[in-house]
Amino acid sequence: MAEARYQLCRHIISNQFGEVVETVCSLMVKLGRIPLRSIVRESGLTPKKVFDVLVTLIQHGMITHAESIEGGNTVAYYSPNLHEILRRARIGIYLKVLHDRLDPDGFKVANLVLQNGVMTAKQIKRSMGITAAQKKKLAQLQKSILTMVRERILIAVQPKDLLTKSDRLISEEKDMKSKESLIITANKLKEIRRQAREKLDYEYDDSAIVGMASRVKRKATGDVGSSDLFQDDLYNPSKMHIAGDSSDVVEDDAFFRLNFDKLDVLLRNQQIIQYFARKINTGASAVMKHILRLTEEKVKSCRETSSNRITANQIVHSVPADIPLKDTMVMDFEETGNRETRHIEYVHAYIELLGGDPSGILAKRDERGSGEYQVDFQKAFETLRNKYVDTFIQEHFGSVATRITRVLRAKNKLEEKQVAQFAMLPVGVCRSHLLKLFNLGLVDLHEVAKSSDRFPARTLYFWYINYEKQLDSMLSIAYKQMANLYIRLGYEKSSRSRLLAKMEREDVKLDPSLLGPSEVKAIEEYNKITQILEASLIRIELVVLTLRDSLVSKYS
Amino acid sequence: MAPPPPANDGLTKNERIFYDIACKQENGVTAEQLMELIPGIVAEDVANMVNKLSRRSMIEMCQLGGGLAYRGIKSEEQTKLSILTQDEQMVYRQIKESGNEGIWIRTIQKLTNLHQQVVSRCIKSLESKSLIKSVKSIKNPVKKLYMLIDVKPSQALTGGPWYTDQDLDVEFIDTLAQQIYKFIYSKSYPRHLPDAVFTAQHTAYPTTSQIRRYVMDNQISTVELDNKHIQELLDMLTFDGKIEPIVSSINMEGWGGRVGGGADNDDDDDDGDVGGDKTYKAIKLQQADSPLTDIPCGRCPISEFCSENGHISPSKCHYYQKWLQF
Repeated sequence: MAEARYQLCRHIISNQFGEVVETVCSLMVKLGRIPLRSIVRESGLTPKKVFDVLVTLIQHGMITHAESIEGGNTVAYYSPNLHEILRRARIGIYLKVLHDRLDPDGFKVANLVLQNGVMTAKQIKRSMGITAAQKKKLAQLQKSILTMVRERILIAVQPKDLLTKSDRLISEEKDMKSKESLIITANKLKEIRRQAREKLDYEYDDSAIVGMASRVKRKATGDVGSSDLFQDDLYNPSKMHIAGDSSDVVEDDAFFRLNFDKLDVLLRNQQIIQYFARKINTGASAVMKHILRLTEEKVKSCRETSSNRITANQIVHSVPADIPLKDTMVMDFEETGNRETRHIEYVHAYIELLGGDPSGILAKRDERGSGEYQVDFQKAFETLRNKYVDTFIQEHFGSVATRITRVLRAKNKLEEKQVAQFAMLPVGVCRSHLLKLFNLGLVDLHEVAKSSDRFPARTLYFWYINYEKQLDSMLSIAYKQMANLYIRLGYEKSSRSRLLAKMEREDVKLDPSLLGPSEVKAIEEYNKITQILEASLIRIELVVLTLRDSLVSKYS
Repeated sequence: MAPPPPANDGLTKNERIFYDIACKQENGVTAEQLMELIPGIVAEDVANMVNKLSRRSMIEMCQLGGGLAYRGIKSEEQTKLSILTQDEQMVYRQIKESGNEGIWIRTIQKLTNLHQQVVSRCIKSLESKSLIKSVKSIKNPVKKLYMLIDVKPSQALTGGPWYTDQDLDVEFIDTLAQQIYKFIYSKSYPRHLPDAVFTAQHTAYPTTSQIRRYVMDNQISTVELDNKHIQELLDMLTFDGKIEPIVSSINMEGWGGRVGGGADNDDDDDDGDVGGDKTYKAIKLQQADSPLTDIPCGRCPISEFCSENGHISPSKCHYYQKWLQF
């Protein structure tokens, strides 16, 4: 797993930032937390080059740094943010989501911010060549940026973002300890640590949007989370505002970056919609799309286990009447009323159908407002995870192995004979499939010795699914395959380097007839190959999104 | 009940009454009961009668509570036993006791206290006289179990309808499951609108009993199957991801409060198994496409040896070459 992840990180960085950045970054991924002098020594690059690389990586949020006083000197330690590095393989999909969601100006802004890592509104305007004189364009751009900030697609970068979560916890703990006048007992220390964790969680849950100011008046949100930690005026809590105020404007000097957590939510939601499209039909997916849209505002990241509650009436009003639901559902009673009434009936019927789905993704919580519903993201994660694991097993080992996996998932720990009984398979067939799955880490074995000597004949062997191990195995496979795709992409590129260099020439760009027929054919073939390889990368990345980033407890 | 022995069988009146009572009582009759039922006899008379009848293989002794009981042996059984030696009779009785579960040779040896060779000889003799047969259990196919020739082995031994010659008949199971899936599918989606679905209140999804009736009526299976067997198949189909049980149930008045009560609720063959009669819906089968197996690495037999700079690498991979040229 670690090796596969390391290799993938290397290839992602090399593909997006080039070899020099890759050298430094892969070194950091390999060695972990490391000071600047060690990076210079190990990489063999000049200090200036290393420094430039570090700035670039910090700018893109791929490394964090913390300072520590050692022997009277302040030493800065840099550590890689593996999560952010691996997430960069998803940039293409993010752009597609942004393209579908934002207006042209918004998409340009997103592209610009993505290229530069972090930017202020002022810098964005300057880069887009919009001056104060172009009032209409400026207003349009400001509106686009404001919408993006309100929807949390753009979020302000704060000093705490440059620290790792553990550094923030340590810093918080240190501050709290310094306030104590008495000797800190073990219980007190435990309490301090709990409070520090709670404070960080509070910051996460806080609905305030940083980086927005009000034209009318400033409203403090009562945030206590960051007031002690960050003294910078720009990030003072008094400048924080609740989203949705019509008089809000984006602060010109606040630095913004793309909120990948929010984009992950949108991607995850797309997968839920696709799941229902495949399982039920397009009508169900259309209704689910609007349900998820209603929950999007409150969901900040994939860490959240469930959405806010929404009523059936809210859903009905959000589904446009022009969506053709009539042809996708057969009612058990005769249709009455006008078109609008019938549409409402269909939406209600779909809500009930989705609520009754065994996956449990849409759960009915109350009867209020024609029924109150909640999207259970934990269930959605489990459903999508199982779907990916099952299809992989089916393609890799066949439908019998998939059946065995599902038996173990439903019944938990079982002996070989019991598995065979439930799966209605001969014990021998069952055993061979279980061993294949075991070798790949997709199922696990629990030994229960009947005697203290742990003699094999007097030991019970129970097969079960160790979900963490299964996910690690799946991720390991995905990482290795992605790395292989990157290697192949690199190979395809390097094997046509002369041709590609010719393509980059100004004269060839202006006059494509300078290319011979065989060269044109080779370019077409190259484009086709890269398209296939990149499409495969995106497809695997979507699996990784579910397996790694939708997991509530482990990776977040 | 056994027909009365001929009148000139040389039994006294009391011995005849004793034999009749011993035949009527399934668990046999004790000496005390005999003394109550036959007036004027004492323990010594009972002992004499027991000796005479047992010598003629007309009764057998069995343990009842703390004491001994005497059970009558039917006349046809007597004929069979009369041609057997004493040892063979003992072995035969143990085999008979085991019923349809069968008995292992070692167990017979232990229960009769006979030598292994004697038991083996007796079994051989009984088999040659077509009185017993050997069967194999699906749980332990190596172990030979013995039971009377006319006894049908229990389901625990044969494995039920899914086993043919001690082997799981996978082909039969798959064919049956396929037919059941088609039946459930036909009831799960409207025929005139293939992409449409029924509402959550739809009640015409098939139940276990209806599926069983469909299987038996259409003679899809020649073997008699009950709801439990059909349920096993339905569970298997659920594990295959082809069908799913309907979670929500609708208790409709006048429909017997049955879980997911179907439209033709007039089943007479659901043997009152209302609680266990589940309703099922088919899932539309999608082409399984896993992004992890779409690329050559997903199916590569030597992917373990593949590395960037190794002898086997994605750059030199023939599978990639073929895939990209496809």
